Amino acid sequence: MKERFQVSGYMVRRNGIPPKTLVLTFGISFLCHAVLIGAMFFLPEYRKPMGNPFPSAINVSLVSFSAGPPAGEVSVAGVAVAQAKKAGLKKEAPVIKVEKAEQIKKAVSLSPKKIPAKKVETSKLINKAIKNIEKKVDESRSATVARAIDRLRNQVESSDNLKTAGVPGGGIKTGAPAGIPGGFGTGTGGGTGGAVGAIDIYKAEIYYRIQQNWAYSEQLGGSNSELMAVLVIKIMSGGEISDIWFERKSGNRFLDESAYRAVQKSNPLPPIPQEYDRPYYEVGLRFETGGLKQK
Amino acid sequence: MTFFFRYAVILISTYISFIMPASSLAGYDYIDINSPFLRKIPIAVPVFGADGANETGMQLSKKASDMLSGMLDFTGYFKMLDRDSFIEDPAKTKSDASNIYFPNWTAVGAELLVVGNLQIKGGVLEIELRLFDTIKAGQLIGKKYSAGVNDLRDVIKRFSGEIIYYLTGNRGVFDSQIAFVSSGTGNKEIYICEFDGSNISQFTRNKAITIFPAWSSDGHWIAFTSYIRGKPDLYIVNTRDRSMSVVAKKGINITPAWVPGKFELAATLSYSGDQDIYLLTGTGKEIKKLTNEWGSDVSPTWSPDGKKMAFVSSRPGTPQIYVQDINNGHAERITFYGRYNTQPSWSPKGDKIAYSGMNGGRHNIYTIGLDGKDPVQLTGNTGDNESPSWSPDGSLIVFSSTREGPSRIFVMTAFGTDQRRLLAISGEQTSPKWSPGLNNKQP
Repeated sequence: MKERFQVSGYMVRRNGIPPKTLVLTFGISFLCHAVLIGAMFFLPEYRKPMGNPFPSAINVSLVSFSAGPPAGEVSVAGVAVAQAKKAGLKKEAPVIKVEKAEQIKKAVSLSPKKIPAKKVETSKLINKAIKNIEKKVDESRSATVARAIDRLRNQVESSDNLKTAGVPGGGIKTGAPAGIPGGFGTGTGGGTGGAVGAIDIYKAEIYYRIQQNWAYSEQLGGSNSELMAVLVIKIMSGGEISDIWFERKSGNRFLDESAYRAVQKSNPLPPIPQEYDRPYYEVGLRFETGGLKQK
Repeated sequence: MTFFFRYAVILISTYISFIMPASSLAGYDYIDINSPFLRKIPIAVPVFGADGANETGMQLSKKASDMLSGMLDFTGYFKMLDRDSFIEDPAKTKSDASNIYFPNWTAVGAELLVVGNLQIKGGVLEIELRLFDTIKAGQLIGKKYSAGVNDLRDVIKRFSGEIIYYLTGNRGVFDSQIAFVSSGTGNKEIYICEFDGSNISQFTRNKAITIFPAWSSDGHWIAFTSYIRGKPDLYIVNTRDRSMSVVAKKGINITPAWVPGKFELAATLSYSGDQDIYLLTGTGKEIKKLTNEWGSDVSPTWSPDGKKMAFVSSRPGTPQIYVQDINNGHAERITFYGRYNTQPSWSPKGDKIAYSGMNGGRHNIYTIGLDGKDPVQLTGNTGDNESPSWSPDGSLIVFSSTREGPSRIFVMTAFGTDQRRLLAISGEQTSPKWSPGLNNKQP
């Protein structure tokens, strides 16, 4: 400790420490700065909390049919869904067809050269197929999600035992057929410990609960562009939401309010998993809307 | 050297101690939620209370609450919650914030709640109506109306307008009407109904083909084309006192469109030998010729500021939509896809034009930006869909469709959702035109 004080007073007093020390001091200082500043750029995840050192990501991206899709959409969307059905949707392993969903989005905004043609003959078949699928999804949505959560839980339990490198790549994929709400994809990259897996399941549960309670009318919101509101919630161990605040408002009153309502309607959430060893859990909720896909 | 190592350790640990607490503070994961489960706002409208009312009063309060539900549903903004699911007994719901137990309403999914109380005192109807935010447990609107028993619908329209005004900043469509052409009598005549297809009345009894109705922006005048004298002439009729002007020049006199905020209208006349669009006074006097190019120029529609006009021109060889600046006369084509694009209707917000385009032998409704970008097809696979016309608040589009066989009047949101039939009367209904708000100035 004594030496440290001498060093810190070195530059003021010049009390006999050789220039070599000075060079080394600055050298070390420079290295520390370089490493830490570099880390800021190359490791965006460095801000992870200490208690959760493993990279974990849940990325839930869905497209759902609006209450009554424009018929223009239906012609193309219908084909996509019909194809999905034709391809054989297995009850055990439904797969998110994100590409199809993107097709639906594109179909809404037509460039002058791409207006869909001659779908007239297939309209009845397509409508029938959509009705069937919607009916099935309505019936099985809750069951699908419950099953998905169970499956996640089983996966994590077995991975606990195996202690392997975690679930590879895209992780566990589960969900409903193309563009239908109620499904989600979640994956854990890298090694997964028990607590991380449990918290991932918990995040999926939070997602499902809040998404179910989110009512937002894009017609009422009236925004043509993509918007995002970010709320942070503090969940106590019993699941009670003790605090809600905006990390970022979207600038659109309807979206901000709808997000806040969705959270309030979801209170209380399920209890925090026991594996999570902290008294509360804070999580950010990014409410995103794709706008009306037309300008 | 141990000195330097120790020094390095101290330096590094200092940096770490500076950085780690900061990262712990903002250190939380994110969950992305990018698909609202409901795309409408869930609202509960329980049957209104009727304090001390007899059987008639009870029926009236049921009728009033049903009417309000219907009007709110019409806008396409709301999901009307099923009354059977309500926890509170609607008949006992007190229209006082202190008596409402909001968790009972959030539990059934309601974000908004309308409660009302109705009394009849000496033939005068007194209605208290309140809108509540169930999540924040607070009153958003509270109004008390006194009216004759027969004015119930007007009261409900007024309160519906208040709700929409609170949410959107404009008063919605409740004070608007729709003019359309129907062939029920054997001739095409013009009819008028309310925004929701109710209270249909026949406006013209010309016993001759009568088409192309057009509302003036104050709603006091309707111009139309009629074959009363055996050829298409233009008639400009006052909706109240039925005073009338006629433009009966040689050739055709068709497709009138009123200039917003003025007693002037544009219409296509062909007395010069070519079909061109002219600007006329409200009494039918010619002000000036607006289009000069050879070829048919028809179906004008004005921008909300009255500075531009969109119309259909055959100058490229096929009917296409052009936008023309009124001051400098410069016109630009905005539709390039398809060989037949007609019936433009400029949106009240001014940013889009709805039109009818033919593709694959079928007519459908499209909207397009003023720069000709982003055409969006709103109807499809459902017969021919034509004659789009925007609601005064720009939230809905009325159009005609043959999806049920004969042509009927349909309505949809401006984004093509919630397509439904507005009315069905004998004959075929075509060419709907949505009026401006007729009571906009009233609070």
